[in-house]
Amino acid sequence: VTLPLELVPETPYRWRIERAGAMRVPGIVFAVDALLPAAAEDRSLAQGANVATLPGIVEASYAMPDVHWGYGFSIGGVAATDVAADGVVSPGGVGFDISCGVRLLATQLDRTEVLPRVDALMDALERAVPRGLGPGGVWELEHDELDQVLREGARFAVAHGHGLDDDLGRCEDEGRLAGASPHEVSSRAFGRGAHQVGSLGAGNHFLEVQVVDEIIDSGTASGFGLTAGRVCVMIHSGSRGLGHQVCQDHVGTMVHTMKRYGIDLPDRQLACAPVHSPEGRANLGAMAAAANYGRANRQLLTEAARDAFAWTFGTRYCA
Amino acid sequence: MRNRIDAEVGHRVLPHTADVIVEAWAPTRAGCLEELVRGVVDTFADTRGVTPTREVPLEVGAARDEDVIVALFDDVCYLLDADGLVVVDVMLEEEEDANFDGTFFVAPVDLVVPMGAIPKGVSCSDLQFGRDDGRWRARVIVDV
Repeated sequence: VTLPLELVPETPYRWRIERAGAMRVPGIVFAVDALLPAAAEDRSLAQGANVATLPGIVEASYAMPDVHWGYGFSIGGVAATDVAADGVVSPGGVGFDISCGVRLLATQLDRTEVLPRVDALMDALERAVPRGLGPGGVWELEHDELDQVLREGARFAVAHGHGLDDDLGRCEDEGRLAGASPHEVSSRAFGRGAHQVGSLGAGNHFLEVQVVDEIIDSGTASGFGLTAGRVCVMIHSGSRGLGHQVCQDHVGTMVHTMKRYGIDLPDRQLACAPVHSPEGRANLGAMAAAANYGRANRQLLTEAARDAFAWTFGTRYCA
Repeated sequence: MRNRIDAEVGHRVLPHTADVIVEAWAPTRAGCLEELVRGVVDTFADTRGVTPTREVPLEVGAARDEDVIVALFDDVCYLLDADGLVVVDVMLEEEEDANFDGTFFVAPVDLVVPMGAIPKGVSCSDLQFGRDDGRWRARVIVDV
């Protein structure tokens, strides 16, 4: 895709990148003028145009208001492909951290109860929550146990005492994404994942103790058990090294099989295969397995946070 | 992060909005890859003064140079995630078939000083490896 790209304003909040070159659809950027990336400093719009070349893409290659330079896709880039029309799956488009996500836990404690003991709570979290360099998760797994995590996600963790049945009803897909194929996950990914279930990782991942400052939507807040002054825990983590390796393995496969399907792309990280091809189906199965790993990981981190609150306040309640 | 810049062999770290970019250069293909590994390790660990405790043999090869880099960092990250070992140094030797044999010199993670976001691998996007102006140059976006 040739630069510079021309951005055509459609509304004050929506801009169009006209089709050019191999683009199959236009690009659409949702942003006010002040949020638009400066092309010279940020290649995210060119990445959006590259995504528009994916076979089977429908309507447009979208960019959300937080769009910024990623690899393959921009961060904040969104695309859908029509599976029935030979639409593709692009593992690099889904991203390295498969099922990266956030959990919010509400405690029964309010700010005034936690503040006097916040240093002790931080020390407890330091002990309870593995993070940073090297292996070391809350839960060390044998190969067959990791296989079950990949099939059953958080359900397997809860069934083995790492959480409450109620947890499953409160998280995505009730803790398990269907269609997982652990046999499509490489031995190298297994090796990286065996020692990291229940670990935060690094980068932008975090476990934060937060306080509800203000209630804006009382109905939603009530559903989450949130009241003003309530202390919460927010956990942001994903599928760790296993998820990265699953993505890398399948990008590597598709880079070499794309030509078989007549696909030529401007960025190798966008490597893809038709969803209904053997490579596409294998990738969906492996990604579901990695997603289940991410769900189990957040479940173990939930339990680690509960332990830290129990050591500090005598109550494990975080829901 | 330490940038090591001189006329012949070196590496530097460049900003990226999502992650980090590392560039390396050297007179030889193998030397450039060695320097790239040192550059990536420098983004997350201070290994100065650390004596390697083990040697891990490595063998990498691929049809394309870019794939050699991906395979090399798959190894570096596997050692980190699975075995808790940081690559303190690396030695590579180019074989007649253009593949590489070599050795990772590693130490347990608790012997190094963590100092940055930990890599999970490298992206295939904007991956560069080639000869330019008499030197080999490589450039990777590191996923953290």
